[in-house]
Amino acid sequence: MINHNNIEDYIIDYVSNELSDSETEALFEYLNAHPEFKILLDEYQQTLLNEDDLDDITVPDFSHLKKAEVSNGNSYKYSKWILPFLVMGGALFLYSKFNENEKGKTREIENKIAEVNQNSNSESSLVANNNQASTQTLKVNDSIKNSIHPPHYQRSSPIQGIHVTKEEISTKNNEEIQPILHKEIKKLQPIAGSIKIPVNSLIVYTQLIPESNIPQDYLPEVSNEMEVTIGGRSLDLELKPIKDIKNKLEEVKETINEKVENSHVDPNGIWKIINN
Amino acid sequence: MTPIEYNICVDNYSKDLYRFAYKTIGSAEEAEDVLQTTFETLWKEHKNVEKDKARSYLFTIVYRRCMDYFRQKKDKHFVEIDEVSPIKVYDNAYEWKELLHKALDNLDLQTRTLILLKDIDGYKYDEIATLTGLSLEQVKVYLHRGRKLLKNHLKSQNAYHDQP
Repeated sequence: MINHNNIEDYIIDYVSNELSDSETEALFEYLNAHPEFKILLDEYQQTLLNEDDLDDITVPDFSHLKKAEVSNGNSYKYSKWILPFLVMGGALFLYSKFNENEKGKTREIENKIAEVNQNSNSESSLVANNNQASTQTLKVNDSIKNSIHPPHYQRSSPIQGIHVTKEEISTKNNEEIQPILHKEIKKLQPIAGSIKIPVNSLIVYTQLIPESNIPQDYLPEVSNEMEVTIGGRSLDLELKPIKDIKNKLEEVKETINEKVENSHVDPNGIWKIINN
Repeated sequence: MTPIEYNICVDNYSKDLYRFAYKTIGSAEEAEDVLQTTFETLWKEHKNVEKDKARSYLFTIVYRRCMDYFRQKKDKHFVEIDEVSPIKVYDNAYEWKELLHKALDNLDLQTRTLILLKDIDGYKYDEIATLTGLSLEQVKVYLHRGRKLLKNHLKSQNAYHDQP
């Protein structure tokens, strides 16, 4: 019931659009009966703020608050499920790659260790026995071969070597021997590696740059370079003589003879000496 | 609410929210900060907020941020309407508007906020109660008191006599 005590509250609620239809009707009946309160209605209507009254407030650009969108809600929901699988797949892939890499490194280290252990043996191969074979011994650096070919290839691979006859060595100079060596080296396909060829005082080796780890003592003078494609890869081969090899030959002669005579595979299976 | 719907909220409501925050706090910079944190909150919770309730949700957060702002500032600036400026004659619409806003700015924070929610953003009493966490009766009391203060202030300035 509207009366003198609550008429102001009714008017406020009316201008605030909070009266029901029946209450509004009752209010106007009261105002018609008591017109002295109509002034209140006018006054309160003037207290209303309009949205336009705030137009002078400059609103900054808030577009930076937006987030990156996906094409639609479904794909967003879909991506929620896909994402973990993608992450897991990526992690597995990286793990397998890491594992493979670690295995490769381990293999390489093993080969290097074996090669170091065989340094004395390699010396023997460099100074192959002058009196013994008409064909000289060649060696293949398996550690480098490993770097190119997978282990399963090595295991199934036959023993490889380069064959250069003693007559050829004795009758031909360094330049003439190179094509022969070249031809022989091609037989090694697809094995790649550092190949050391002791022929009297002539030491020939192929170097797979930069992977060769020929002992510095045996680094020869530059004589020539050949190029041969091995296993589909182009390798630079250097054929060079070595000075003072005879002195070194004497130092390791006994070991060489033993190795050549036995013609065995060393315990690590890294080096293979082929004695013809 | 999807990210797309969230972005629509930014487009549709940032203007009203900013003006509400600006009129409540009185500082453009602070109002901008309030909106920034408000939308950050919405984004964190966007999966749990229904699209249809986003507007109320946003106004609720802005309202609370504004209250927090004043609590932190320990604002003692509230001036009762009767204490303000000397009588001046306002003879055009622009000055009338200026007077009204000055009266509004001099209301206490709670009352000013509720009047903004009521007049500018068009919320009903019960919606304001939900939004602010006040009871329906409290909302009515604050709004009635605020409305009377505005009227009295305008009257004290002879504004009604000179209004366009």
